[in-house]
Amino acid sequence: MFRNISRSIINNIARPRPIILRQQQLHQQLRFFNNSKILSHGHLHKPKPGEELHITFITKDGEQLTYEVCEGDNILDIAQANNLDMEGACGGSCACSTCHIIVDPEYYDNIPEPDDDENDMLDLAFGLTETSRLGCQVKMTNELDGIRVALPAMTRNLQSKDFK
Amino acid sequence: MIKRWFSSTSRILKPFKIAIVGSGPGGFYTAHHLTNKSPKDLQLNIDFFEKLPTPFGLSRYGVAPDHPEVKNCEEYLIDLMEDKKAHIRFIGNCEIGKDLTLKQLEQNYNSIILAYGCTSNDNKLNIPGSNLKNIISARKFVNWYNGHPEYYEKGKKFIPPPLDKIKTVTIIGNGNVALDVARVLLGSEEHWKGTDISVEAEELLEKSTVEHVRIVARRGIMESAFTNKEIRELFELDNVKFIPLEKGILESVDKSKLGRVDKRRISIIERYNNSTKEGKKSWTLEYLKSPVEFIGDEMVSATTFVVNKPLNDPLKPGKVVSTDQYITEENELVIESIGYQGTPINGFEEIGIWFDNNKLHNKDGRLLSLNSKDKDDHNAIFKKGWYTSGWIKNGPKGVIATTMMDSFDTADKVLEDIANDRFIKVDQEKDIIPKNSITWDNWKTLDNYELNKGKELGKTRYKVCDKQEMLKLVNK
Repeated sequence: MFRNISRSIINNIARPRPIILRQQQLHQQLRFFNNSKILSHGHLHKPKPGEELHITFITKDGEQLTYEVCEGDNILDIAQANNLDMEGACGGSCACSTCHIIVDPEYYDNIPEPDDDENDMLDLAFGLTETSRLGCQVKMTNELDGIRVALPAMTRNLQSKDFK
Repeated sequence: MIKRWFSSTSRILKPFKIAIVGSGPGGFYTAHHLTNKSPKDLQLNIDFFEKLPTPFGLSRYGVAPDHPEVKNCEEYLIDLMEDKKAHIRFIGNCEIGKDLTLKQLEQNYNSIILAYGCTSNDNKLNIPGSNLKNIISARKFVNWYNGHPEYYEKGKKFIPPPLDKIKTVTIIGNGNVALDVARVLLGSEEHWKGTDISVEAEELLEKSTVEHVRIVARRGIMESAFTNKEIRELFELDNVKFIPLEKGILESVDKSKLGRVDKRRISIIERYNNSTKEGKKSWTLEYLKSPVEFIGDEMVSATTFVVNKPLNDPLKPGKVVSTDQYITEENELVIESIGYQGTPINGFEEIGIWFDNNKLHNKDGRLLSLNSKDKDDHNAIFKKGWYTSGWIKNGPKGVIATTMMDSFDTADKVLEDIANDRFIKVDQEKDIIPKNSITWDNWKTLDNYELNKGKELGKTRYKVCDKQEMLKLVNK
């Protein structure tokens, strides 16, 4: 089953090089160099020259990170391959809401509509917005080239009352 | 601080020892975050203490058998245990407060995280007739069909309700546990066949004569405690008919004011409320009714409810008041699903951990000391080195993703404290693990046995329910 694949493979796959790093941080860059692991085939493929698609993540700290990715890659895999703080607790099987992302409204309508299963899970996501999606359910396509997605701020000091 | 402490001395420094009590999602998400986010030169040795011989806590014994995808979260613990670089041990069949004391933990670990859950007791209705037969708690019913060893213990075995003699069931409460129970009672033989539901439960369900399940809540539709996934699942069960809501309930909702989640909830209910789906079994969703008396001679035969009405005070949303109208409905089984309670571990008081009113007192996951009892929130005194995550931290609420975020939060506090030299200084070097505890390799043996036997029976897993049998299978 695919659940075994995601995280174990992700640790070994090629990390697409970030092409733009605004507000560059030294340790951030160092991390990318440190982590250049041996190439092996996994979910993510190296895009062929000229066929690169672009995705920008806005982290919880407001940092913007842009990556070149392949058509067909899903956003959870892209985020995990780049060490961004995104969990896939259910292994990308649309059974949790830990890969919740907020999509730039400009791109939201270019993504095929969420099905009932995805909506079920989104309804449990913290900080749900009108343009929320699950990263594991959104695959990169030509229409999504240049898409911007934000990682919702992890909530602090959760109280049970927040979930009533 | 952390730099100085670790980088200069890391080579000669002893590993940092962490104990986690409980190996369910609250425990393993905390461990995952700890290993993921701790500084590279800090070696963490994590020991999971688990009361049962089996890991995964509520994922194994709470999550419904027909939700295998939710159990994928178990991969987090498996990955941790099988990562050769990590120094993590599973110590099963070892109950803190019994096989080992809290004091022993404190003498041997730098940080201790209590993640032992909040499901060892129930909230109970205290109304006339509560001690009649065939009034049971949802918690016991769930543990029974999920094969929890404490419900299969010789001499103390849980006697399931006589589902082969019962037609109508009332479930009190409408959270996801209530809906799980309803699905178990309404789902067809085929629905459960092949899942890891306990064999005893599967056999009894095959003989079940249940025809109608009533899910009753004291508040209104907007206060429904279930999540959208679970209600949709119940609506979509094969061969089961939903009897439309009482008139006026949907009509009372002003949809223009609802947020995304509530709007979807109402639209799901609307979609199925008028469906023409037929079925052998049926169910209703009932609102604004509180049970006031169970009626029957020896066994329950009916329940009397008082009808409530919404207070409609915008400053007290969801609040209801009783009217003077009563209704009595027949039922041969009542399942109370009105929430769980946590219990303390033996010895809390002795070592100064503050637990009262079913609450393990903590601030953002850091345990509060008994000395905090008379202090206000701003002047809280922590119990240094002690933390909590999972349901025992904030109460038995929320889905797996909630527990995950919450556990990460506790793990952050642990790391923050390590970096700032706030942890238990340990001088003992003795290994306190009891000899007869279950190791991860033992569990793998049991796991393989369960999977293989499951294959023979056409189930995803055959759960061994008797603890003695488990121990025998791993030669303990």
